[in-house]
Amino acid sequence: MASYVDLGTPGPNTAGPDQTGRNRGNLTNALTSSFINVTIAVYECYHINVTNVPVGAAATIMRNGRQYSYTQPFGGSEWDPSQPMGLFAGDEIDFLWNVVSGTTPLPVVTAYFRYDQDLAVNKSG
Amino acid sequence: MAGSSWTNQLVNLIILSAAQTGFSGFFVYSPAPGPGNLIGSWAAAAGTDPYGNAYPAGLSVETGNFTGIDLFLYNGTPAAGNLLASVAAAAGTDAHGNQYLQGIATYSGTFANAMIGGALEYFTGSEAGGWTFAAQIETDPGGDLIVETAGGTLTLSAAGNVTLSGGLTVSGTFSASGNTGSAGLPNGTINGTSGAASAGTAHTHGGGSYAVTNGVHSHTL
Repeated sequence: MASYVDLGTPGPNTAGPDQTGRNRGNLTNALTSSFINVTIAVYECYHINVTNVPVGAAATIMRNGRQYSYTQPFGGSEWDPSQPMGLFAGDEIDFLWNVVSGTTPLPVVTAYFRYDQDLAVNKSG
Repeated sequence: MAGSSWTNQLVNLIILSAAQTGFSGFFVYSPAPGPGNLIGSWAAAAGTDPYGNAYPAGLSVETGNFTGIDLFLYNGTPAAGNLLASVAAAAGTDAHGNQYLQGIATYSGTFANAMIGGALEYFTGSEAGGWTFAAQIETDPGGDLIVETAGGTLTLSAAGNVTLSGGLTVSGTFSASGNTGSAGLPNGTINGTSGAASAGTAHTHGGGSYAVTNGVHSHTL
């Protein structure tokens, strides 16, 4: 049985012109490893909310450059998965929006993280 | 996104299968699902929802407005020649090739009529070939009732009498194929002048006798 420790959120991430190279010219929320700033070896993203979504905008959600999910919210949305997104230290989550970088409002992504303190890998170091 | 953990999603495609019998379809409740709260439904078959609300087969809207749409009612299965009535902002052709009229219109064979604000219009033609304006009954800002035809005659046909309770103005040719009947016209009820075409050569009656037969009088001047 997991024994979770809530890491909370690094805070809201506001979209900007894509810097990942995977969504050139469009808006991207890049939750880089430095933004997430979790150094635990193995952790999870268990909740995300998205606000300020421009009308008609949709996002392809990437984990380390691979498609993980997709959302086309009406204004905003919450993600409460049946299975949390597993992450390793240094991983990155990106929301690649299908709207050009000049679009407003700018989508805001807030992600919440936790880790299992009983995992051996999380006990070492 | 079907099956997604994301909430509040826009969807690009909804396919609702009606293969399941029983309570199946698209149902809208206000303020919440419950008895008497079904305000709209779209179902393949009529039924009753779990709250006891009966719903019909097809679309049912029990509150709200239809805005910006055209309505078409068919005589049976929607098909060419089956258009029974329509409500449309502008004339056009439906998905089955039936030509429909602007306004609230009904169709029957080679005749159609349409109500547009202030006028009841009559057409001849067909749903396949289109409609030609034939006549209309309308009103004007003065409150007059105007009956006009595009080129045909105006016939007043009554099994009983036709009574005109107001004055009668004839701006065109007046002709009659009947007569006044045996009672004739009261003395002094014919006024005005007669022109040459109807009266023949102007003349004056002097003393003497003359005969009238079948409306023609002859005499010696």
